[in-house]
Amino acid sequence: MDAARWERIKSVFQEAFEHEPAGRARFLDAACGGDADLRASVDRLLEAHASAGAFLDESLKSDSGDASRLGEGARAAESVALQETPTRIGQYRVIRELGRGGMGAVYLAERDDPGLRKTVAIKVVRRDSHFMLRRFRTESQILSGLEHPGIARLYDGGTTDEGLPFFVMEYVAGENIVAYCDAHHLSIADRLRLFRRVCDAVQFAHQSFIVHRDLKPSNILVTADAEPKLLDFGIAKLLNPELAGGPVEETMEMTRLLTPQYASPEHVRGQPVTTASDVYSLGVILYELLTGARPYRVTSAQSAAEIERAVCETDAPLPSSVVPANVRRALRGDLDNIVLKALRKAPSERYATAAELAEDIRRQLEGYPVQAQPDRVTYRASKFVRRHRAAVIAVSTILVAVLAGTLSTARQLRRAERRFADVRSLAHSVLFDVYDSLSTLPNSLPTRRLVVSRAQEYLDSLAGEAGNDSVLVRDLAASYMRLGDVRGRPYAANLGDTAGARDSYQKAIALLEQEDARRPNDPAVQEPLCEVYMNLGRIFSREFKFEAAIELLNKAIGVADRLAARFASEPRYIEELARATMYLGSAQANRAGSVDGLQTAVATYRRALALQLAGGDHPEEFWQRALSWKYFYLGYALLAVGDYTGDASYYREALDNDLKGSAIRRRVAEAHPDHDYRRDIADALVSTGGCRWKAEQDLAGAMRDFREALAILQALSEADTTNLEARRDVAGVYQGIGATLGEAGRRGEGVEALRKALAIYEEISRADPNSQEDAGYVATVQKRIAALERDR
Amino acid sequence: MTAPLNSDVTGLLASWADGDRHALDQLMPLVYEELRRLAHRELRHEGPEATLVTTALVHEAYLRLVDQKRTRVETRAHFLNIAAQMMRRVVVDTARKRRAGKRGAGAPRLSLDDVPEPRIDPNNPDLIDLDEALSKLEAFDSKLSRLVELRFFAGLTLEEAAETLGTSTTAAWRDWNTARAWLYNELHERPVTPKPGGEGG
Repeated sequence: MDAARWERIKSVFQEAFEHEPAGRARFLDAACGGDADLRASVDRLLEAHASAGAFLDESLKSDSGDASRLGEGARAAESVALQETPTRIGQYRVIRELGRGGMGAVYLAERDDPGLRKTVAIKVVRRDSHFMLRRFRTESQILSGLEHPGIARLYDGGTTDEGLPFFVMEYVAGENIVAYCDAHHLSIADRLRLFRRVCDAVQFAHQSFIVHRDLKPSNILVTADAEPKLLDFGIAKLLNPELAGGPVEETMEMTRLLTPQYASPEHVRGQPVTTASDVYSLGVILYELLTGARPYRVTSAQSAAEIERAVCETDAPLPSSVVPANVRRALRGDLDNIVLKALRKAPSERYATAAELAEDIRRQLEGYPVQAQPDRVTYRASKFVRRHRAAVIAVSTILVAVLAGTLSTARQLRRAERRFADVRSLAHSVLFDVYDSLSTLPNSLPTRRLVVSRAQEYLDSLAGEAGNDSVLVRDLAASYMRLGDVRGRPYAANLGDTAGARDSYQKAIALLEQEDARRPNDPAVQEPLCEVYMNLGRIFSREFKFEAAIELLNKAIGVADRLAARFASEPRYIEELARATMYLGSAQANRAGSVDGLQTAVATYRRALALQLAGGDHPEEFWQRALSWKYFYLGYALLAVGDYTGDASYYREALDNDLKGSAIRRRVAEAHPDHDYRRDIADALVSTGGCRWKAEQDLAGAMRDFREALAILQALSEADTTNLEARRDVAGVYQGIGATLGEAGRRGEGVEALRKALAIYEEISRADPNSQEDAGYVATVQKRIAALERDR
Repeated sequence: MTAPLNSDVTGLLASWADGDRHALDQLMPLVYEELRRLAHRELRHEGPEATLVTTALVHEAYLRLVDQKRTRVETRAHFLNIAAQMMRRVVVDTARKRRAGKRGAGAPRLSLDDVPEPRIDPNNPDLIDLDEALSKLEAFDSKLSRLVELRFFAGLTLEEAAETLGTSTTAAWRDWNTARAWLYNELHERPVTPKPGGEGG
């Protein structure tokens, strides 16, 4: 190859290499211009680099830097300089040899100073000192500052007369941790407690930004006082000059100083070694402490590639699966999970710190849930049950429901979706099962509010993950709708949290609209969408935000219209269309400040009634009840028009409609004695009562209806003091009584009834300040009272 | 026992550093012999399955051949340069000998003089192919081939190799990637020879 040509290729390649892959093509276009041959050559080099993997990275020498790579019996070539035990090293007198390996030898020595008789361990390294010492000078200060009872101190360093580097360290008389535990027959709990202290020491070093890099049992000694001591902290880095360099050098680390049995995948691959790598090594040691075995079959005789495969690709068997049956039970579950979390291949999936690992072990020892568990409802629930056996019996039915939901969904889903499914089913259980169970308990309002706000958190966390999965999106929307309902569904039992309900409904709408755009004309999307438009529209209507209300209700009508047109034989879609129309009428009626406005509402109500009547006669309960509402709503509006115009024919038409609605309600209630239709009946009675007086001046009939309604509604309200709608109903009856009595000339009694209504409206208005409706009632009733008192 | 050799090599390195080209011719066989001897000793101890710890050998050879007290700063770089080339030769020669032995009729029995082929990572190439590719690279970019010798055959770290070659670590890192990519192509993009008479063809 032409040298000049090569220089050009090389320089473009090297520069391209500096660019992020994303911007590489643009750089190459510019750098190569029209030189297709140059471009091809550079591309070939880039491709080669991308697929080269660890090609040549593991040098021929495979210097593990430790006896372990060379095998136990490594009679590794010893430097002539280390053939015999030296008598002196630096200022220290050598007492005896403590051990030796491929990397060098360790001696027990004493400071040659009668005043300061200090016994130390000296590690002499069979490696040329050139780089190591330079490294040592910068590192030694940090390392000698590492003072912790669990870490053997590094005192000093230097070169022997032969030019070999040595390190002077605190001498620790002890046994390696695995041997110690076995020799002393330590229980699993005692092993865990000892291991936690090792974690503490590692954490201390990590906080000083020192990574051990070569944690293994032979580097963790336990003294006669049962104190664990870590040896060689930071030494690995000293021995490996490249580790000191920037990230670039670190990825190229060639002389990987590692003990393959305990080295992390990233270490084995030559990727940057971090505190997470120490956490991994701790995991291997914990595995060995608990099982007596190591997670992988790695031997020193294996090639680098074989070791890499074993460490990086093999999943460690569960610790509980490699021990005899009598120990298995103790390891199964938490300890399995803790060890495997420390042993995750991806550093980011491990414990973030040694302290977290220690904390999880503490929690396991004390019977608390551990972090090393995917966030499974089943798990947390089972932990809770174990800790509070007695207390959970009352709650257990709910938990069973939660667990059942979790298990059945989780089983059907891929593993990656499991967490999602768990949270989803939890949210579902909280909203549907737990909430309903709580609702039956007296004075559960604060708890219900808590449950609801927790459910909201769950749902919000899920919403970010739902992605494009239609089933999940719909499910989520349904949960938001349910959440909106329990917070403040208009005219239904709720917590009176209108603002919260609005928020939940809006989230449901956003999800469903997105889904509707993606899959147009899907009734499974359109139906709930129409429903939630209506609910939110009614909330706005109640808050006197009429424009927003009318816009939403028109949207609901549009969706229902499409559904009803496509499924002409489905009465429920016709009913939905009629209902949406009716709600539009209500918004118009609430907005109305004039008789024309009310007439608009009346026309809309008439249309709603006509729509449903045109749908045919269906005996189903939902159809019949819905039909009765159309009569009543039309009746209210007609009554109001009568009030405005003084035209009694409107009253008569109102009574006519109310009586039709009432008759339907009674028929439904008789046909379904198992259902509680008391509220329906009471509602009808309130309407007919008012009309009887207005249309026919039948005060006795009116009062009879009112009293019957009051009895029913007071009973309902007392059964659930948190049900604001029931309270509002009671106030409504008093309002009707007061107004009727006032008009009948019995002003004193009328004012008395109106004051009762006022007190209730004021109370509800305080509980839910967002609802303008109650404030409106307050004003109306106050006006009526004032008028009655003035006239009296 | 090593004293005469020790002073020889140190002196020759100094002469070479001073511009005496002849010194190199004398140095190379000395270094080669020492490395071969050390490799042989290592493998005889460890058996044919041993991993050749070439970096240890180079460092040990350095300690043995060069008088530490008489070295100048650049002496070590010069020595490593030569030692890396010689290590490559030792290893490749060993591989050749091994291959020849395998082709022979008899059982590949090792005599004491035989040095078994060093175990090579499966991810790594055939040593003889690599040697040939490296010679091609050397023809137009000797700096890159030297870098590969230092890193792959002598087991120097990037920092050491950079210092030996007198470049920055960053430059050495770029060169290393370039050499690796070029060699990878050279070794992996050879046309695959079709096997004659495939089964069930």
